[in-house]
Amino acid sequence: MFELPATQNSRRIRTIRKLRYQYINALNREYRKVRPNFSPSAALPTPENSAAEEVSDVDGTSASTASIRRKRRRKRLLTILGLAGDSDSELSDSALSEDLHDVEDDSEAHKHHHRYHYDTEKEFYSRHEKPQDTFEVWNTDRSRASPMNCHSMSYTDCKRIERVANRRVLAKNTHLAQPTKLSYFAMRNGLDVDAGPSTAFRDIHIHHLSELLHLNVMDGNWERAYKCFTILIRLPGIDVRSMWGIGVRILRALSPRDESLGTSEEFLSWLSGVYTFKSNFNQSMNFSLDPVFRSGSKTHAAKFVITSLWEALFALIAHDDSDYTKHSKTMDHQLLQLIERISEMVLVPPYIEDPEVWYINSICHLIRADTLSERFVSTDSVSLTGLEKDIARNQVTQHLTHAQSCIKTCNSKDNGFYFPYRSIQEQLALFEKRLYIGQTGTGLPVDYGPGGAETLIRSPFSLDTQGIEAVETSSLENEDEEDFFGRTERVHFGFDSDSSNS
Amino acid sequence: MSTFFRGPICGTDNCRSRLWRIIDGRRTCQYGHVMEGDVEFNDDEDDINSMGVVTRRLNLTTNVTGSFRSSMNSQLQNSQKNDEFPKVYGAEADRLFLKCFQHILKLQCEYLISYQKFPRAFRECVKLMWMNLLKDMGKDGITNVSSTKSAQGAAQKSDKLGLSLLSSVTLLYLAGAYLKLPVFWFDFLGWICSMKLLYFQANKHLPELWRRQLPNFYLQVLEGGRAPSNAHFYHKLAHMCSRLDAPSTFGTRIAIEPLLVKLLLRLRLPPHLFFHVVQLVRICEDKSSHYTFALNGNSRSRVNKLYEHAEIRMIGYFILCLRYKLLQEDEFLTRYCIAWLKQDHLGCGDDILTSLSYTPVTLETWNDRSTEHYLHWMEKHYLPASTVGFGDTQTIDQRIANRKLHVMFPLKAENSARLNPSVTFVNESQDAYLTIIDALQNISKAGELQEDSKSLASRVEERLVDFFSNLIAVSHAQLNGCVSYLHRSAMRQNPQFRKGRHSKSFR
Repeated sequence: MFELPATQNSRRIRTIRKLRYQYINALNREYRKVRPNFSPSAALPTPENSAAEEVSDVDGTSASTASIRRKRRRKRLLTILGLAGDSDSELSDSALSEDLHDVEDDSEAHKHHHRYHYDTEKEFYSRHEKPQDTFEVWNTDRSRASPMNCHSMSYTDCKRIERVANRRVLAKNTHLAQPTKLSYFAMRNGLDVDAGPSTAFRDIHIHHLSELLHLNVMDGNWERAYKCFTILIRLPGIDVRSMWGIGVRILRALSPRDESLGTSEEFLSWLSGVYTFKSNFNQSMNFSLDPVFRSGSKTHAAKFVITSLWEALFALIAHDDSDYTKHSKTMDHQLLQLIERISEMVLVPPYIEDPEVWYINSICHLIRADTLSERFVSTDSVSLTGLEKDIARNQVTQHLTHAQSCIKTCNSKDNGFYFPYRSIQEQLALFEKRLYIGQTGTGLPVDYGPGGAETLIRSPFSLDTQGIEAVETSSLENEDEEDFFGRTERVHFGFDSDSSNS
Repeated sequence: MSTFFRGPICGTDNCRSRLWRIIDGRRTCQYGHVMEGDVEFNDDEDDINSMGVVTRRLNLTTNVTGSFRSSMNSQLQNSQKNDEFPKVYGAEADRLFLKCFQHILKLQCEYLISYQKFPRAFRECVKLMWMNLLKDMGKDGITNVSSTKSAQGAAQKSDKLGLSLLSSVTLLYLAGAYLKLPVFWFDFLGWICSMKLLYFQANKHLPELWRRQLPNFYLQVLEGGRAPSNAHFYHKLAHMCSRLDAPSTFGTRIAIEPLLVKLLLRLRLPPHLFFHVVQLVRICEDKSSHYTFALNGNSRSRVNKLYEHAEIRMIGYFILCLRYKLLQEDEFLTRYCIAWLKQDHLGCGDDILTSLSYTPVTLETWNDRSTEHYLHWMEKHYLPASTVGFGDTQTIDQRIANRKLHVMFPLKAENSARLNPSVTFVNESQDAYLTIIDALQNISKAGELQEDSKSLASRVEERLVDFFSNLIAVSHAQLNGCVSYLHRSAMRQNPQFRKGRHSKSFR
């Protein structure tokens, strides 16, 4: 019923993959012999390499498409260099840009392949844009469309190409295991071999366990789910990265009651420490498939890192209203630590490119600005003298500008990340006004008294309006939101948050 | 925005930054200090490739004497290849494999003697069987050598060992049968599937040295893989019998009484059914072989004739007997079976583990009791057995990381009161029989006895076939085939059966 959390670790899978791409490449080579003017970039009429798009580059949108393309090429280069194994943190910017500049088209990218390690799969993908890069860029303008490549080919030619390609592949692989051979022949005929779920004793029990885990999570039976989880993570060949979300949820349910367990924040920080984005996944040495979205890479921020940031943020604001003043000191300290941590993180990829991290960063600054500016509106505290006031004001302004710049960076990333930009702007403006309450005398606007401001700022969670975040985490967080504060009234800002909250 | 890279500590004004980036060709730290004396010339415009010089970074370090050597990574890879204990191949590998197999056999015997209270002589008996088997292998080897070096000979030689973990179980079974112990295949299967008897992942229990030397294909043989199914065991047993020449040398016969009693108790069926079954067997079988069945050797014609195997034949008679009795409209049995069909679970404790070892689709089996039982078993038996030697294969980093993870998720001590492990077989069956009796008294005479005897018999038979096929790892079709064959042969031998269900000979 569910995907097994086990690591696929078989040489056969890898060989089959290799054979597939060898065959496709051989076919491609043979085809090019028949059609010499066949350009490699037009292998398949994806929108990116269709002729129509080349024309569309001329018009006004050319700048953005060109930049996208350059970015993509750069990304691909990064992966090539990263896989070659020598480009860890030592790889300087200059070296990178050098590499970037001297490789201007795909043919030279091929040289790079040969220089490092020859991988048929990479050769294949160097000719193809991946669908996630290219969708929704179709050019629909009829006048600019150029004819498709619609040369026909005779049946005998086609068969001959297939035959030659097959011979080439088989010549390279003389000793193939029988199942591999079978699946290769099936693949050549356009079929796919489905072996069905494994019935090995070990796999069956892993299957049972993960099923029980999911069932008990569904029923909310956390004790039993915990037991399944603890057994699962101790079994060999299990990948924690494929079920960390459940682990976090279980810990969050159980750790407040049981001292011996770790907290969910500990677990998340363990994950971010062990599965760091810096580790290279060497495809030529590993038989397993690469853990694409299960952990981070240099181009993709791991979900558990971002979740850990959210968790930390939630944890430090989680308090009762009664002991607010007592709590505020530790909270200040934790918040500063968090800000420090994020500001270090966003200096390097992948976090520098991730809008969500920037968003969290801006929220942190927002909260900080809020707590600092509160001193200006609160009536019971001692009034600040002129110099102190200036210093405090400066601090607030600093955080406000930080928040402002972060939110702008977040906006500029434009990665399908939506957030209530306007209401945050309003909040920031509100905090700024607070600074000058005393100076404007009685000039408090009617719609925001101190009380109104309090309710607004005390619930920064309504700002978290990610509809598209991974369902498990976002829904879990929203669930807890009510419990954490024991506060049920919702504060609505603009129409932005309204629509996404409902 | 240009990205940062790590470098030395900046140090200007006690600046602690290690992160650098390049602004206008100058190395600038995170806080804006410019590195001294570091100027980068912008030569991006030059086409390096056209000048014919390509710089390359060599992965070199220096060794103790200062000369170059390749870096640590490749060193490590080399050292892995020059393993201290390389794999052995050929005849040597065969010999090692036999040693390993013998080791596993020994471990299995030890378990049976110390935990299942087998007699001491069992060990000697298994040894005897094993010696005979080895002698048989030696004979094969000699004939191979004397035969021509044709391709056929090579093919024979490659599978001359013909050993799998299942063969070890057949040896144990044969020894048990020889000693007339009341253990049957389903007992062994239960122990295997609950990981008590060494079977799955047996290769992890080999000595470290042997495991490293043994070739991978032999390790795979000793891995266990999937649980035996489709009467795999009985085929293997027949094969082993013919190799050992068991019928003549050991004269092994299976006694049916203990088998019947065991089956009856597991099924929670009334004990007097025992006599009916014995009577049926006496009618149908050869008069000379009362109460025992011979274990037969292998032959090509016998592959599809599963009913020739003693246990399956016995189970077939069992099913037939209940069918005939129900069709005779035996009043007590009819009422009993109606109550019996309402029981949720048959079989004792670990039978659920056996059935869980086969199919990954189990949604309907999970209730509180089975889940608790399963998880308990998972933690106490499966987990320790499958992590044997796992720590040695990890690197030190992985071990540290895993330890930290396990501290966060400690295995909790079981509160044993809830699980109550002291449930014995006797208690369990007593409870089961008591519940059936309760159900018997609750049956309203009018409503449920209306059911046609034929449909009742077919429902009962369906359930029996389902249970037995799980119990002895035979597919439904195979078992049904056996039953129908036995039915036909019974009809043939005793034509008076056909006249009416109320035959005099079977009462």
